Amino acid sequence: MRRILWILAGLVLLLPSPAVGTGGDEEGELGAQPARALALQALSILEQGVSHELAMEKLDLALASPDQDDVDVGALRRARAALAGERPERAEELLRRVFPEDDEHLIGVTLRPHRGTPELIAGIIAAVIAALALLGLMRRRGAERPAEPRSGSGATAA
Amino acid sequence: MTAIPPADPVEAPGARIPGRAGWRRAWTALDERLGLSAFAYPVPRHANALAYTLGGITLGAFLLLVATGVYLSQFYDPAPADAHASVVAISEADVGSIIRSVHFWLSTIFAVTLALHLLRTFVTASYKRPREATWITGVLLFGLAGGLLYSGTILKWDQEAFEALEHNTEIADLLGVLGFWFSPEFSGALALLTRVYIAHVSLLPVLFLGVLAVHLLLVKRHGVSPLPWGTAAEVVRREREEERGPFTSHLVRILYWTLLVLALALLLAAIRPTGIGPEGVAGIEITKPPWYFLWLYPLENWFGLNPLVIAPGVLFAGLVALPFLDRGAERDPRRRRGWVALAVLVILAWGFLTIYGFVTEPVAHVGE
Repeated sequence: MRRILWILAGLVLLLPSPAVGTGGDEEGELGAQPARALALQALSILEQGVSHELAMEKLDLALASPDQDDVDVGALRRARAALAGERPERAEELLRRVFPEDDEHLIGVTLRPHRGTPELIAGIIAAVIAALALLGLMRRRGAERPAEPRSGSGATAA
Repeated sequence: MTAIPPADPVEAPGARIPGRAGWRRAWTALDERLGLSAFAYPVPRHANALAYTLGGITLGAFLLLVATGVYLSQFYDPAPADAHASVVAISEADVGSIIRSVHFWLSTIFAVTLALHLLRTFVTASYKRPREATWITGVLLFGLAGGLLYSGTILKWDQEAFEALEHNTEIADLLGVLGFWFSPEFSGALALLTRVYIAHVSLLPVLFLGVLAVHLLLVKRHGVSPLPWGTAAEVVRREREEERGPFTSHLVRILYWTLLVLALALLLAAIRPTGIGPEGVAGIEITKPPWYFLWLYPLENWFGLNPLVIAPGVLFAGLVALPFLDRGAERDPRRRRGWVALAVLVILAWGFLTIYGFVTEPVAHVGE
């Protein structure tokens, strides 16, 4: 029990200041969503007839995104121009070409933090905690083993 | 035969306490004033097996979720205009990103251990007399956990969250008066997102802790359920004769398992940090629900929104009614083949629907 208290106290000391809980006011690259997700939103907005302005906003964000993998940027530009020229049907058609029929028109979590030093430290802390917990469980089992004379007396183990 | 090793600190007031005199004095002083030893009770040896520790592990995961949730709440803005940006800001920060990922993975582990605990309780027929109320409070906790997982999905306020909230609103319409709280019209002062946040950080956890307290008191009152193997008479005899150990020994095991859960969540957060989708747009549907709600997705594809109320309702009602339907004395799953077959069928249906929901073509449901 005392070992657990020490581990927990150590964890509390390891925690940095709560002030580092946010990235501050500046929006870094992580704030920018992948162009593919934004373009899919724009397509869906046009398909559902939600708002041309909103679709244009999403296309602007897609064209400005640093992550333009797996997307035809030229088609996005033409779709943006079609929307600016009040031709939403043409924009929709162009965006459909960006996403072929057999492609899954689906997004979910598209923006993930980069893995770096904090994740490495988290992994190391995880390994230390896991080792201590496993050691504790094994010692616990070892300490209780002599008090198990009833094995084979009819009580079946779970 | 009850044998409690004497060297345990929490077994009884005045029991011999190992370690330094300071610890002993502190414990005695606290116990004298707070009656802490009342929480201790003899625990049968089989309760230290992993299968019987799942409830404690789930509780440990819940407490870790509360701790990481309190941290995240210091930086989360529940106003609809700023919620997404505040989650992005948390995800951009070193510590914030790790804590958010740990919170996410803990919620997944919590869902898994809770479901396994429920399954173990079913298989060992631990819901039978006199533990019906323990089972029903457990089922209530299962439902509240579903509410916590659902509301947590909405808070990140990305496209997935928007769609989850739109389903919430549509279901509120379906429920009529019963769904009024879930509708945006309920409060003119606060946005629905803000009220969902309040539910996630106060209403649901307070309810959860209240029901949990009753659940734990009932576990103490009736003791840990016996091993189910053999005839009903054999189970009763074994329960009476089984060797018992100190509660603290059980508690320390739970604490070690909880540390393992924390380690696993940290490791998953390091390997696969959770992210966020693009800021949501109302009226479109281009996401699928998280895996624990994915079984509802095909049902919604086939039958519309009604199954979102009916299917969980039937499951919940069935679980509550179980102790009153299966009233026989037998606890051994090999002697309750009909019930076990029913459970296997439900699990297979859940698995099939989840996999089908994962691979099936996405369909727009809301507003159709």
